[in-house]
Amino acid sequence: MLKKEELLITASLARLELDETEAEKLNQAASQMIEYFALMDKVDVENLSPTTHALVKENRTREDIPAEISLADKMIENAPEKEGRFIVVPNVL
Amino acid sequence: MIWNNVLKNTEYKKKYVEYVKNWEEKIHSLLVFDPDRPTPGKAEGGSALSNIPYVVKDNIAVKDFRFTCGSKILENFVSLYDAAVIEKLNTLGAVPIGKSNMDEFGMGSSTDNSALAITNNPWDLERVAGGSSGGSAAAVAAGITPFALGTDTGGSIRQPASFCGVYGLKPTYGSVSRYGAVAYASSLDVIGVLARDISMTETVFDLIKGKDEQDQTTTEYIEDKRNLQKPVFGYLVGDLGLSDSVAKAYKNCIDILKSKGYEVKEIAIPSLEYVIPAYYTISTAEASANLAKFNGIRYGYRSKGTESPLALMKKSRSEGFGEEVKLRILLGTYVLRSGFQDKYYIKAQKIRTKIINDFNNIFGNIDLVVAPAFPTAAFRHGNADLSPYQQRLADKFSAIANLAGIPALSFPAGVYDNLPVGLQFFAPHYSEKLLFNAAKIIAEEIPVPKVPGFKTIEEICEAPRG
Repeated sequence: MLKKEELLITASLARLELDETEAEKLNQAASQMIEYFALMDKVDVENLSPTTHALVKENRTREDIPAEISLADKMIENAPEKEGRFIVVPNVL
Repeated sequence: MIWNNVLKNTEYKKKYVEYVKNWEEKIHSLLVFDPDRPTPGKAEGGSALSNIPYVVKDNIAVKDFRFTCGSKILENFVSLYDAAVIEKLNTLGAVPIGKSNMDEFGMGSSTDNSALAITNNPWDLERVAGGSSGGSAAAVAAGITPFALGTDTGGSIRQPASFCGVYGLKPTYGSVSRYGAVAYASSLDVIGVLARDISMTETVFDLIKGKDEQDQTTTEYIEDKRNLQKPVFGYLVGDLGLSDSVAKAYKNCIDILKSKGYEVKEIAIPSLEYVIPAYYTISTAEASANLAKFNGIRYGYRSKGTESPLALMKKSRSEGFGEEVKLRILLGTYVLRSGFQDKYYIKAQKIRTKIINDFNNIFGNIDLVVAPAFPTAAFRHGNADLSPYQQRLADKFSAIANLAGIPALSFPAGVYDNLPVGLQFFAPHYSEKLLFNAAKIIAEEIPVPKVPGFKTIEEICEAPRG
């Protein structure tokens, strides 16, 4: 079982806030999975390099040219709270 | 084909909409249904998909449609643009008429993890349609769309396809642009097709595949033309932990291939038992990063009355995400924490290399692998048959293809105890053609099942009213 403190640190890093009941339930489910992950200790991966993507044939690049995206105003419209073209957030300081 | 006319002919459309509504009262496969969306009308007659309606999983952007990913955090979000696949289908004249329900952000095997609706399996309303593309699979099985788009990160197209008795294609990684699809695990995600007709599956895949400048992981599609005439099949032996019906269907499929004169060999995938820890380590790690952007600031659900930006983010995420999503974000954050990376994430990526090596060896001797799509047929709602933990462990037959990046197709393999059972084929990268041909071989012996109440579009439109 994960220590409760470990779970809460992880939750905070993930920007999640858990109440008591939820923390308890998620800790059980997470611990069960992490214990299962221990199965990986048995695998011999000596001399194998990690795969980051299943199929990367080449390093894809593109010309450094600005693209025009005409959606900016509509995207601002999608914000939950705004003032003119600004998105409102609670006081930072 | 009437599908091309169903939206244009008023009488046909009326009957079709009625048919959809009747099914939807029972299965709730769609979050949005809008048959009145203007048809693109550009490709009159010229394209096989001209004016054909279709359904899109709700994690793929369709302009002006709600775009929820099955999550409360995006419940009222409307897409501003079309995904690259939708743009392609627009130019061919196909018409997106609905968005299908799904497990929140693609996380689940039942579609019960949707925050917005419960989708039922058309074969048995007490059972799940599978997931995460459960809405797409149910809609196709019920005959309310000729094809649907889905996404597959660890089996999310193939498992629901097998639960509903339809085809489900997970293409080669990078063969279809994901621009406009919401990422779950970027090194595994692909967009694919569900349909009752293998030729339709093939047609749609052929039309949506290819390199796209907007998705840097897409590659030029250069078909692997190995052994199309007389492919050699491989299958797994030993105790695979299958339910009786899946075990029977599996054996029957191998027998069919043998009886038709195909060479069928026993194979082993040594890394199969390590798929689940590797898959869940990698997918949750990537998910924890991909889902960081849902924080209540720029769009989506925002919690009211918080006093700092940090509190706003935490509250919005905690109130907006469901339990399975929180669990996977927590797991992903945990395996990436400093000090743990070598033990989990890097290790999982090395196992991934091992899996790829296994397939390279296998495809040195054979052309196609026949495997179960899932160890059971559709299970009942409410975790009565399989707990969420057991559901995750059951992903091993499907997630292995995502880890290797290879294409896989689940196909209907019979109906047992009134429920469809699906199996799947794996093929080497860029050999989707092999998958389609193999599925056609099986379809000669096992026709695609019709769920009770299913009508073809001809039957729907040409039946006298009343």
